[in-house]
Amino acid sequence: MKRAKRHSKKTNLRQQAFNRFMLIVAILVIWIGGIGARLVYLQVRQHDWLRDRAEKQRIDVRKSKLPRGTIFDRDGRVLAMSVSVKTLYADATEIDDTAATAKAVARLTGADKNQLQRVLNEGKESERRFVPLVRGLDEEAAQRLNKGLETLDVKKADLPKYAGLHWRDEQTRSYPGESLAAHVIGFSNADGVGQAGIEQSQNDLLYGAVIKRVQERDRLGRVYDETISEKEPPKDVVLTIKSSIQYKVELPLAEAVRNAGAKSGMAIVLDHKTGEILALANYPTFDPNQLKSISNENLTNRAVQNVYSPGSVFKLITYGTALERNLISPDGTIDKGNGTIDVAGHVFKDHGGGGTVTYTKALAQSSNVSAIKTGLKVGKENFYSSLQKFGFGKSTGIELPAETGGIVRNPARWNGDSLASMSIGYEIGVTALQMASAFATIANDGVRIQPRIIKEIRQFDEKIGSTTEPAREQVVSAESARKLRQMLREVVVSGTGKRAAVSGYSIAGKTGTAWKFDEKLKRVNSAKYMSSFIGFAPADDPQVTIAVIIDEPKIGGRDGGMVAAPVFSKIAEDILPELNIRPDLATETLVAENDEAAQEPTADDLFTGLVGDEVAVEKNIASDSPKVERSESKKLVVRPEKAEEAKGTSTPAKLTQVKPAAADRPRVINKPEKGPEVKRKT
Amino acid sequence: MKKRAHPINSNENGRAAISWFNVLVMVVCVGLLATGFFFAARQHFTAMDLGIKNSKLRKQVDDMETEKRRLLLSREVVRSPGEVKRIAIRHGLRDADEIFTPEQANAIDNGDRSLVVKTSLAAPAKTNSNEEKAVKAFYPVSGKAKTSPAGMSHLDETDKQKKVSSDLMATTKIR
Repeated sequence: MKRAKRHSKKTNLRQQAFNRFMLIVAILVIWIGGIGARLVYLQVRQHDWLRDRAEKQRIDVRKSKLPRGTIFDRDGRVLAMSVSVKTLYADATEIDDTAATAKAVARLTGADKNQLQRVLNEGKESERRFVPLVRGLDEEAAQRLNKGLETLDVKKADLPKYAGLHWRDEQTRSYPGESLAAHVIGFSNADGVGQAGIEQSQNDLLYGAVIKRVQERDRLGRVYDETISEKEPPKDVVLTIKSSIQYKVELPLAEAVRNAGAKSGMAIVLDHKTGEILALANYPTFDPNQLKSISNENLTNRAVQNVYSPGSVFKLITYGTALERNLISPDGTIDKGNGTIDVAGHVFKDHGGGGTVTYTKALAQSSNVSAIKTGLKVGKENFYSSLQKFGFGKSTGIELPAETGGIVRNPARWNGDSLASMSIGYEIGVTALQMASAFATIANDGVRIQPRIIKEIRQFDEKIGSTTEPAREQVVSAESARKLRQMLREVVVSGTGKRAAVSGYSIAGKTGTAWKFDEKLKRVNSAKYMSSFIGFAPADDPQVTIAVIIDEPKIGGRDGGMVAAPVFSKIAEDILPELNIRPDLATETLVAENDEAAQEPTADDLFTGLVGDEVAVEKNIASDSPKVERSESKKLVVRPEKAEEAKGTSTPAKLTQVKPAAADRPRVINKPEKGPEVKRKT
Repeated sequence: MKKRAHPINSNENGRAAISWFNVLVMVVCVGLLATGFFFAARQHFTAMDLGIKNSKLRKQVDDMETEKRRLLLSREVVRSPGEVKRIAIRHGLRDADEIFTPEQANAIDNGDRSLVVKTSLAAPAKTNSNEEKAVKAFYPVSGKAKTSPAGMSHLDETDKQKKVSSDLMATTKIR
């Protein structure tokens, strides 16, 4: 009995324990079930909302733009560069007290408090999330603002620690040279897209791609992981332009345009041996840093976008073609008759009268009749073929936007007098660059090299990405080119281009004065000129080609010899020493006070322009100087037959140049060198 | 009624028997688990710390790059011809055209040296009178000019030499 009782008691205890255990299990099951149900609810029903909230709290996605590529000149000097700046903006929806925010920002930035408050209020009303308050701040200024705006009770992941205020990274494009080479560089807009010049033509290379940064932050807002979407960084463009030469070209060009009251001016300096453009200037110009002040007219890069009738400079092609075909020789003679010529009822006149002259003299005097007769000798087909070889009628391929190819009509559409007109630079449209390229061809022994303005493309790591090899074409023989250079030399020595002379250097070139075609009159207007001088130096061993074109000069002499040649002279005088091109002509010293200090100069001294501590003014004896040749060792050699004359006119102390003496400067010709008289419209 | 099998091993007294081996295994497992968690946590926090440091360094690199660009640009702005001219004017230098009257310019062109004062960088120009005289000052070149090679490769040579061009001429007034 006792045993049964004990057993029953034991059973009850076990049952009780079991019941209790089951109760606990039930509670646990209900508890876990509740949690599970809640989890299912949160993770299934509220999945998206919670995920967004978590990501917002933890992950920060930032989009930023890589800095746009830099444009350098050939010396590595920056012509255009983008720098990062910061913009302080307000998320108006996050701001409760706009007055306090405006006051805080105004206190630190010096901005107008009322205006800031008005902007914030407007933003708040329209629930704008981006209200820019301060733009273009550098990192240092941003740090100062962060410190000043720090509020202890505000907990924010980003800076500044002030409710509703944030930073945004932006870029600004700067052009440190201001208007220097503005037409070449161009500019880009606020979105970083090129709008003109190299900025436009190389936009694909320069464009800074947008990158996405996914930043994961901890609870204190510190970034502990960052993923950046990889994009190819933009490339840098290195131009063939040399800033110092560009400046030395722009300055006299601007001065000449202003002094002549001209509409505009263009100048190009070309290294004809490589096709590299060392300077390309237009005036009027613009400052790409101040986009608002740019007028459309100033934006045009006239040197490659404008077409004009070249006038007498085009005689280069006429005589060049004739020389190439052995139809003429520089010393051969031509009869100008009575100074007029009638071609298909069109009477062309020479301003210099008639008579027989050598071809060299005819070119020096810029005789229209001689050029027309020579052109007629050459013939239509040959002349047209030559035009094509020289690259007229098609764009040069320079890496600048909107380059025009000029106007060259097919011979089938020529009039009876077209060949005559074209022989003297009418009925044809060329660009300044095409004309410069034609002269460069002659300077380069008849080899035409495609002009280019981009030297190389650099990768972001400064490795050279690509360079272009310019196309070369033999247009005329080296012998014809040499003969033509001799003829062009005479233009400066005794012809219409005397004012292009440079002390110590032999210059060869050609003046051009063309009447402009008037859209309103539908014919050439004898009151509007396009005056030019294109040449190279030194004449015997040309190193650089320079073209100067002045559009519609109004004040003073208006022909190329009066307006453009002095600009050429000034440019050449300034840039030839910089290019290490030595003077090739003997010069005579007028003043040498400090004789004991003045020693026999070496060739290097001739270049430096300074011996001892004296400054000397010299007389240019370029036109009648003993001819100086370069030997292979590049030393100056005076020809024996002329050496005595040189001794008789020069002093032992041979100091070099400042400017040609006034008495020896080319005579000022008040009467402009006129273009052909056209009796009917061409 | 079938008797329910007791899940726990019991000894003769009916008490649960503790297998020391099982306890040991359990302790080892728990220890391993705890150690694993500990190392995982440590690694996690180390990774977080490194991530934060990495992020800060990356930001520093970006900031440095930006600063480098800014300084480069500032240097180029200061070296630009326009700015150089402005600085020169601030220091009292003038354009030659501004101080030479046409008469003076003609006189100088004709070789009349009375208007031109000798000057050098070694010794300052001397004037006897109190009246203003125009003076041309030349900056000397730092090296000798080299022979011009073919093409424009000499341009690069010029740059390497970093010499001041002889035509860097400034004109100023001396009282």
